[in-house]
Amino acid sequence: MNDEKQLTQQESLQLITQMINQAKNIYYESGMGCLLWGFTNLICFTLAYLDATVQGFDLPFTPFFLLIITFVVQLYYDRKEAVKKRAMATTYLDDVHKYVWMCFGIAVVLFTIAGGIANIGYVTLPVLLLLFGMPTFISGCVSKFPAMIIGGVICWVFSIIAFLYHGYYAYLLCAAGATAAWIIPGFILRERFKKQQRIEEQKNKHGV
Amino acid sequence: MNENEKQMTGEESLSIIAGMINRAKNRFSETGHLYLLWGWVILVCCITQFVSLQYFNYEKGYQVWFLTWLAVIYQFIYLAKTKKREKVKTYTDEIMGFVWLTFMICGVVMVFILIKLKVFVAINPLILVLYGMPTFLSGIILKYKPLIFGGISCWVLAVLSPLVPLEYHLLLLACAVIAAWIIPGYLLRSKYKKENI
Repeated sequence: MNDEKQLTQQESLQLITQMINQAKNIYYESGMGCLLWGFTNLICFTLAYLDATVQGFDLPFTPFFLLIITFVVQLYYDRKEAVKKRAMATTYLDDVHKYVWMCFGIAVVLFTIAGGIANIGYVTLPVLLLLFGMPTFISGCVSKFPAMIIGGVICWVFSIIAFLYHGYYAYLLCAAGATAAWIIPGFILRERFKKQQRIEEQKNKHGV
Repeated sequence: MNENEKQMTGEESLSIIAGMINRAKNRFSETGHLYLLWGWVILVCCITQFVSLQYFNYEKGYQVWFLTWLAVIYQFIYLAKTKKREKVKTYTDEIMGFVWLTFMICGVVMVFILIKLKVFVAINPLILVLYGMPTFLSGIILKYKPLIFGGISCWVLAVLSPLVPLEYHLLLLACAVIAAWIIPGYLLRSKYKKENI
């Protein structure tokens, strides 16, 4: 213990920085959640549009039931992730993302209930687009991920369009919003995640 | 999340650590000043418009809402002054900034459009859902229960609002700002004073 090297202030800081960066890399988002919700919303809103506009295309159920299935899949996925991460520490960013999206989920459910009781009609879809933009924009800013920031802003622009020129195509705007906010960023994240994994594999191979 | 995962600088790491320590100690730089400012401004606007409509039949009582513009100007000046005094901006402060910025953008856009389209019945449930989001998030990020309760109160009022006659919606909004901003604002202020004596 006598030979133990005393770290200088600069070295301590470097060590802490390195540890934070390592933790960040371990929990690098794979984009799965984004893609899962993005595609579910894309399918739901497209089906809803077809149901409302195409004659003979009558669904025996509301396509939005798909969201419940996705929610169950998400719960399973979260549980699996939680078990995997239990051995390690979760990052602050993990927590923030979790809270932001949880809050969004609560807000959407409550607004749908309140909007349904108040019978607000066409206003529902533009508001949903506005709500889509909120967690996307916050997550993008917090993670410094421009694709999500842009996705959030696009949702808000679509929301304004849907408000001012309301009609059935608001469903298509919601589908496009889901693509901009979740599907595109999801694919970018997935690509980076794979790249990161390849780097890790190479490091392991070379014993670094 | 930049290309190849952005590496943090020492300063950024320190900012995160400072934020985490403060969060763990449940100690933060929040004075409650802006919660109180907005809480009182919105409360005064709600009550004034309600009273002018209900008791004086004065329909232009909504003009009192121009007060919010004064509050925005004051907020900008206040934030600029605070920024100069701040020694370190923690990661938590930064996240809270994004949360409230998002709320502000959405709130302004939404109210403007709903009023323009005269969809008054939708304004209150939406505003209350929106009020709840940053309040609840701030509470949960700061681990500060009064804000969490404030956020939940807004959401409960949002669901109840369609059941309440339109003319009383302003009173629901008043209750929401008391629960979400005024009470937590005073509690934050007293906590800040205690911790910074």
